[in-house]
Amino acid sequence: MNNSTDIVFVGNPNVGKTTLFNKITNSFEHVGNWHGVTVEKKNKMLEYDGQQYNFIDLPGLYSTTSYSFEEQVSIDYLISTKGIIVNVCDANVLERNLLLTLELLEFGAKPILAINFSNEVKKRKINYNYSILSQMLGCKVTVCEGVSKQGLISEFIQNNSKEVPLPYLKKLPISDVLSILTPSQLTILNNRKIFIATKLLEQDEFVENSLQLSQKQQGLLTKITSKADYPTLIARLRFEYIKHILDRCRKVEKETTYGKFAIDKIILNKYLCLPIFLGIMFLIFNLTFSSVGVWLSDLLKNFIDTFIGLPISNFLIKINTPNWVVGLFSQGIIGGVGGLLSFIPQIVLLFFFLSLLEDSGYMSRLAFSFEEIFHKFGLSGKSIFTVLMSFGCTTTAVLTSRNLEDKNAKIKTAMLSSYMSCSAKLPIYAVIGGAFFGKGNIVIIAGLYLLGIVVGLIVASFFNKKILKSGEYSFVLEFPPYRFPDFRRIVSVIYQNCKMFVTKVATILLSFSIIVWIMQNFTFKFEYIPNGRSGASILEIIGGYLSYILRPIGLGNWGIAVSLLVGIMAKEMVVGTMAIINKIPTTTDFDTTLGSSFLTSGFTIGFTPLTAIIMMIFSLLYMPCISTMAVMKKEIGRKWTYVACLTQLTVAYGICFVIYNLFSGKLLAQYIIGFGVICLVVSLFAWLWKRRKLDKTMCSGCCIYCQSNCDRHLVKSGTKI
Amino acid sequence: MEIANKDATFPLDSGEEGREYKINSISAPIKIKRRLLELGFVDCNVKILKKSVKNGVFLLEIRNYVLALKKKEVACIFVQRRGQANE
Repeated sequence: MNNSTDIVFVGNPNVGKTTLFNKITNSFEHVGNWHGVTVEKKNKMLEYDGQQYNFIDLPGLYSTTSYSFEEQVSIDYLISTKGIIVNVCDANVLERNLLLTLELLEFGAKPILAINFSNEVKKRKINYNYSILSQMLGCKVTVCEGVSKQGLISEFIQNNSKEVPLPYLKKLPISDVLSILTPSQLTILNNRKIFIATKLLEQDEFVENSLQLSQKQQGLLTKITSKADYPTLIARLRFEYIKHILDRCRKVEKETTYGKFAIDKIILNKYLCLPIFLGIMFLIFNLTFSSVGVWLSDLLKNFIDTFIGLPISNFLIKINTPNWVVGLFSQGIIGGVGGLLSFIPQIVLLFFFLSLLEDSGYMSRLAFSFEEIFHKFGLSGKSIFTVLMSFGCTTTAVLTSRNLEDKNAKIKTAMLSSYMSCSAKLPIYAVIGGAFFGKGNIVIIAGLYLLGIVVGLIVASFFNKKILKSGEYSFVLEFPPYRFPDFRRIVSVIYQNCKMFVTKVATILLSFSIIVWIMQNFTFKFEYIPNGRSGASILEIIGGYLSYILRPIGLGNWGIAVSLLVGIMAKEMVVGTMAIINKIPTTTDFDTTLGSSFLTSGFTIGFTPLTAIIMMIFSLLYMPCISTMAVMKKEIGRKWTYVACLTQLTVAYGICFVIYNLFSGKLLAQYIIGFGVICLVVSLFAWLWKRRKLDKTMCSGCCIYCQSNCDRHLVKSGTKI
Repeated sequence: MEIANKDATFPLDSGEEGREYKINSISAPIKIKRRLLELGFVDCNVKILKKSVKNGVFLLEIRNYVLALKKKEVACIFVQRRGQANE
């Protein structure tokens, strides 16, 4: 690692840094045609010509001043690195991109300019003379389109960029600012003198805090900065210089605006934006969960059963394998895990459509349309990125909340994500809903997706009003152009997600299936229980205790309780565990066989249409999976992760409790009375608590001091803190 | 309502949809000001492409690209009238 050379990709958001990184390092990092896809530093080592290179992809930056956590990550790295800096630029918006280039030059970085989307620019009838650009900036310029991976590596490892004087700097009091600093202060930020001086003139808090200026130095600096509006002057000088460069190297035949399209008049229309979004989502759900998805799923089921499940089961019976081994294989492995594999086509379709949305440029338009709606719930329009990504996988979606400028909005968005219907919940809806509602299940599934959004927004709104109030945060969103999806990328996204799903099935889910099967078929004394005997297995005993908690919501069955508990590890396991408990042996019509077992009284787990709906709602809302919890802990902290989980559990239980008791009529009176008593007791405690606090701060007028100014009196009147 | 005097400066959030303006100055807390300057809001023209339903978000065209900003930030950009409405 020490002998390697760092090659760092840096640039404005959405200029194709990660696409370049993926191409060079054969990686599959997430990319999309929207602002802020990359939220953390990614790196990969590569050997080329016997030398080790560490390629690093940084989150997007508009300048070397940070406004968010991910921007600070990039800037910290840029300050400390001695590697080669590749400044990735979008040729379409070179004028704005070159601002960062100039700041990097002020930094003393000698970057290589990697130009993306040069073909798009040609189509817009804009021609660049890149050799003039290179000459004027002193940077090596590489046009990335049409260059192979090897070609790009050899371009980036030979940096012949040189330092050129930036004439506009002469108009700034750089030396005056530097003269007030001590030599040791100049070394703090890696001796980047011009960077330090310009940032001090721009009143950059990060640089000011890093240098720990004395009062005297602060006074001298204020004296310099008060002479002019330096932030504006510096920006003006930089943009003037960029214009000067572009006037020499750019030829515009036809002036067009990047990201501006006539279709936006329809897509962003205040009456049409929501119906268009709902229409698109309905089409996606229909194709994924009803027509094409179901057909493909059946095809795969038959394949798994004909070529894997049945032949192996028959073989095990033929060679006289003990009964428990055959049971473990047919029920534990094939029943629990094999059936889940048949959902791959639906997962493929879901990720295909999500990738289409991401690549098209529609996501940014959605964020614009949703900003005002989400603002009412204390969220940002950009929270829609997290919501849509959550339909795929909540774990990765939580990461996208980093894009948000407001810390409280970020916490609320991360919380909101686990109320969404991720692809792992899909088997639950397909199996349980399919059994009870047949073709009408598509409506139930769409309803569940909607319910997740509505409940998530209500919870976010509650937190916004009570604990996590969002201040007036910034909302900067660049509109990318509409682009045709890159099918190679879509294939790679689908491949990666399927690989992840199959790996999860083959490792975690398989292990849990085996554990669940063993727990169901063995006693605490580890005696094998043959078919037919019940009541003594480990799983039944544990599930029996848990089922008491779920009884008030109509799910008081030990099998359901255990399935939901295992589902916290991975949501796919809810259905897998049910299959094991109901002893569904093969994958042939996995969902219909398992589904019909729910309708037959002989099986352990059974549902009525009402409890089926409750089960789906509870599975949708009750808890994020363990990997989502881990990411949430990293992103929003331990405290808020606990709060999020407890809130979800309470909300899920509350909603299911109300639905069950409202529609079943069972024990409703007792519950209402019980609930009323609890409310009364809680209110009484709350009133006493509030009174106790008031008593501490209010003057009761009961002592002689109260005539004048006792402590309590002063606290109340606000004169003493 | 947009200020009638052609030479007067006024905050961009009171501008009209489809109209182009010349940026005059930015008056905002330093953090917002710096961000707007970095995005190119200096010495150039800006066009209001669209306002959201309740005018909370503005879609702007600046330096040949399109950008969405909240009203709070847009109100910090002081502009002068330039050109005619692009109906």
